[in-house]
Amino acid sequence: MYELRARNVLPNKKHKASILKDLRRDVWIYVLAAVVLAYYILFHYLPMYGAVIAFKEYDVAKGIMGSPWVGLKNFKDFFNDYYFVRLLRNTLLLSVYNLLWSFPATILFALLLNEIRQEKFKKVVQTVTYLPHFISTIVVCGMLIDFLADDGLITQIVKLFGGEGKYYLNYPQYFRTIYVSSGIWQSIGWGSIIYLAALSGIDTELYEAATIDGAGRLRQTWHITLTGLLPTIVTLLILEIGKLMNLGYEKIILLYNGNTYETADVISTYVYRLGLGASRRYSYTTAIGLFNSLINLILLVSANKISKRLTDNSLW
Amino acid sequence: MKRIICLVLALCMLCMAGCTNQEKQKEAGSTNQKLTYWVGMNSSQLTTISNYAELPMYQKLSEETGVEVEFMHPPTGQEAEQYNLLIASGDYPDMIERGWSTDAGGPGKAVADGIVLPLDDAIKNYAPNYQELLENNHELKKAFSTDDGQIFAFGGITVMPKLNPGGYFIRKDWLEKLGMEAPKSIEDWEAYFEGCKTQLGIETPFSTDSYRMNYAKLFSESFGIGSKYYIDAAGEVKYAPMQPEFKEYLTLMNSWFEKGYLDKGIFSNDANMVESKILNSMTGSFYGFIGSTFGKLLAAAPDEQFQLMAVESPSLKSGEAAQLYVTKPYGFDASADMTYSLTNTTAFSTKNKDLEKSAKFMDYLYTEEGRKLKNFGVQDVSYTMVGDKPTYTEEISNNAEGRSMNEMIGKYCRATYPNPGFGDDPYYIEQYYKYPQQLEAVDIFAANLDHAVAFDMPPVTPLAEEVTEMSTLQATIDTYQEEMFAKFIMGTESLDNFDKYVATLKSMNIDRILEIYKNAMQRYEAR
Repeated sequence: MYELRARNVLPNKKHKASILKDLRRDVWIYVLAAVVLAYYILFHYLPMYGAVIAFKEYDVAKGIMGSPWVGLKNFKDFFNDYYFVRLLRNTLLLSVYNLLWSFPATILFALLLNEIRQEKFKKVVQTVTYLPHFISTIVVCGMLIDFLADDGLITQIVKLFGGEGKYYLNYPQYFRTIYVSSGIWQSIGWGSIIYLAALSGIDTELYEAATIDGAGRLRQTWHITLTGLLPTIVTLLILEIGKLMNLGYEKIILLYNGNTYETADVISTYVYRLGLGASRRYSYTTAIGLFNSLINLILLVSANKISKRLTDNSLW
Repeated sequence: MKRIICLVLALCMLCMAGCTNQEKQKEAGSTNQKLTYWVGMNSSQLTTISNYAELPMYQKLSEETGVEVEFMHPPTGQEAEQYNLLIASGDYPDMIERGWSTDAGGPGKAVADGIVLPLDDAIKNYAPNYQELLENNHELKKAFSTDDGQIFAFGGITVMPKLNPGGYFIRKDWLEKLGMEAPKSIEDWEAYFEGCKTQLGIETPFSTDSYRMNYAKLFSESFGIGSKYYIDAAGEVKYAPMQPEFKEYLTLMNSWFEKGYLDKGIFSNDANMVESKILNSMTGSFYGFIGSTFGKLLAAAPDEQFQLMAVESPSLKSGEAAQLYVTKPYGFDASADMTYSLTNTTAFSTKNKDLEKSAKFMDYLYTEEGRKLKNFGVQDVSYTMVGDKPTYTEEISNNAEGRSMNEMIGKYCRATYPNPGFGDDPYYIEQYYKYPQQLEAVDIFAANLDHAVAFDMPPVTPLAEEVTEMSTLQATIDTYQEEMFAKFIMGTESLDNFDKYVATLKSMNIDRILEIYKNAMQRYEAR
């Protein structure tokens, strides 16, 4: 009897002791983690409660609790919106084009940088390509508006190659090109950092072995570099896909005008015009935000699943 | 483990201590009976002061009325969000100064929600000057009342209603080179544009920025219509972009665009780009404001040849009188010597501690001394009397450090932005507009004010339940209208499709919005 009890208690005690020991040993790590945890709870999980206003007709004076429930009315309003289809199409197209062009461009750029053997030249190129990342969007857009005017720098260059001289930002057919290409210019250097870090982790012995086996530069890039980068690429790609609906509105708002709404007006800019107009429709815009997040979540989960099946790489 | 618990507990204690400290401060605040006044401060004033308690105008006002006031300032630019937070917190200050009329549901809803106190009794009992002013000016009283006819705020009064701050400006020296008179009709303008293009080699005779192109009354008033929603001469609410005259207007703009009279970048320009085009002699005329645009450009004039002048709004046909769209609200006749401003008005919250003191504090602004105090500050500190004209000190009008007059006035009083009390005092205008050309512009823009055919809508308030419906409709309509406006002018959409465009606007239920406004107008008139 005594023995039994002792047997039952003893491992328990040991277990407890080991947790305590663990806590005592790493106490500061736990404290650090607690701060981060508190941050997420306070600023990311608790505010989620506010999303209920998507199902209410929120009124500041009545508060979140006191505002009347309206069910799915706000969502229905959005789906029935005259511009719903166009907004959705523009958002997805602009996002997908952006992903299709700028994602591979960044990888390609990192690979090219990696091939440069002259350190000084490499450093200069890197610094020059990082710079646009630090220029604020409003300045970038101001430059674009100037450069794309009928006497602007870019327009002059286009003219040299036989193009037309006109205000390119006034024509819907050019908007996506302008948006995507300027986006590449802004982000290519900065985006390549993470790949360069991953590249430095690839074992150099692999290259030596490949050289001995008679593999050329391209073969090495294909079989060693890209394969080594694959986990990073896949992770970033999944994350990017999860953001597909969250197209930043700042740059679009600064670049678009009535002429280009046809291709440039996206969900977030429409919400901006609606939510910050004279009557602030918090509930309606929250509903749209929630809808966006839902689509993003579905995209993220499915991208993750597909990737798991195809490449064995996944976020979870 | 113990240490962690200790740490967590310590953190909790700290938080609680912080909270109770705040509570204590609040209690202390209420015992010394200072009234609280919530008001946003504009950014130019922030360069010289950090709180209105530092403003000589308010120090003097407290001294004169014996009312101590503590000011609360939301971060500049976030007034709307901060106001919502304030309301959500349920902890209202005694007085709140903001633009109440643009809220969904208007000030009437704030009264119904128990945020704002109807002021009729307080004004009758404690604010004789304001009471007298409103009794003598029914239009003012209407503007500062809810649809139920209750006065909700101490409002702003614009003393110089003939002030029509926006209009057309032209290069005077080019006009002289071309041997022309100041254009008076659309025809004259076309002649000027043609002259600029052919004789002076100017590529863009007229320029403005995309915002003004969309929202200003740019040349459309010559066709007898306003911009967006307006009230016509018969007192009816109209939507300019669907009037038949708007088609004629678009036709003219389209032809100007094709002929190269208008800046090709008119839909992507921002204000700075336009200003640089003007200063670099790339454009010969523009739309702007006497204070901000015109004053700035006159100060930046590159050489003596560069001369600008204001020109009056053109008539549609030569020899006819110009038709005007005035921002003066409907209901005022041309001779009225004051109008209202609802940009910033002061309401009392339902938690106001002392109605009598609050009303006394505000009422002083509507006296002759209060008017001087608000527009010029304190005598012998920020102004001196030259004859019967209050004159700003040298420090303000000609600052040695090169600070602008706007900034310097803001250090002493609240003359430069609309707020409760009398604003735009003629003596202030006279000194604020430094250049004689600006004062001329005031007269030129006021020239045809009696020919006004379109007016701004008064501050009507649609019902709270109509507001949600309206904003959804409006967002769609605005998007469509802006898009088509640009396309019609640039010629990417044929003007033959104008009827189809009107039909689309109708299918977007523009008539419902007009109906809501019409009802709101009726309620307004009945105030």
